[in-house]
Amino acid sequence: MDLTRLNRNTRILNIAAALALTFAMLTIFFYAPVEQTMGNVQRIFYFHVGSAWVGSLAFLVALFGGVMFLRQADRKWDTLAVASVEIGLVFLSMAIVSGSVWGKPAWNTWWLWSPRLTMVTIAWLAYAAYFMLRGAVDDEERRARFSAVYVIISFLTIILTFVSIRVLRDIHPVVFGGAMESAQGASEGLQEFSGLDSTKMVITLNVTVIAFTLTFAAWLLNRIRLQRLTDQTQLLKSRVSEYLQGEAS
Amino acid sequence: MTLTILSSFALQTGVDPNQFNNYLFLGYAVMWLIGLIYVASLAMRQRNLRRDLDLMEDILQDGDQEAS
Repeated sequence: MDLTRLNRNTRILNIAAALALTFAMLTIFFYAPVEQTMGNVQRIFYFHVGSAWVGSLAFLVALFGGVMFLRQADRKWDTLAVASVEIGLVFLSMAIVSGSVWGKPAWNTWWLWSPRLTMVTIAWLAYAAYFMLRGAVDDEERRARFSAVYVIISFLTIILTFVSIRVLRDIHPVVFGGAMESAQGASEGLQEFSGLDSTKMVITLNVTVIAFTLTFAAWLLNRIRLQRLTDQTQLLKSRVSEYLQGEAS
Repeated sequence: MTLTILSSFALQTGVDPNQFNNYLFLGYAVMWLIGLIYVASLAMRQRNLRRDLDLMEDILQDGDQEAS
């Protein structure tokens, strides 16, 4: 298989993701209504929630890859996990930065060490450390096994990030399945924006989540191909090094 | 009391929906930048690997030719 060229499925998915993102942007800016309390700046919410959601999905896929590697010891599952963690970190970074930019007009501060924001920082650091762990182990098999265990344990930070605003008092709005928490937060003056006020907002959010999911799938295929290309290069490098050693002796 | 209620109502209806638009543009600009940097990093890594791969294949091909 020629790994240096994009295959047909990857190309189709890349185009579909680009079109979906364009459509999502149009929906966000021309279809979604203006939020009453915050005005237009609330439109950050669609990309923020979309990227956070797909980031969590990426870490779930990485968890699956880790579990499957421990069961089958097949290299492809390690490749899936590493690709997924890398993309998850990109989406999580987007969610953190967009949340911070939204927080400035909403809370009058760029950052707060609230339970949700603290947990998401811990999650980001935990997954960034995944690459440090991989870099520290030379043996391929051991590296893949340690990484699989680590990626399974790290998913705990994602669960805690999701749960944090539902069990602890937090300024961060609860958007999904948290009507009671939102109402409580609003009554306590903690949250001025409780999420989705109209059907148009729900549709826009769904469009964005679908567009981000397609982007994740496209990036994942590209990243997996890149990992295979890396493996192939490593293999050839070792063959070249053997050949050169033979020449020298 | 009535004056307070009326003034608060007037303040609420006077909210300008565009007052935080600079944050909106900043947020989207940063998010797109992160995404584009990642795509560019994928493309760069692929280009470098392709170059390495071609070089290795050339070395091995030369070796095979010498051997034959």
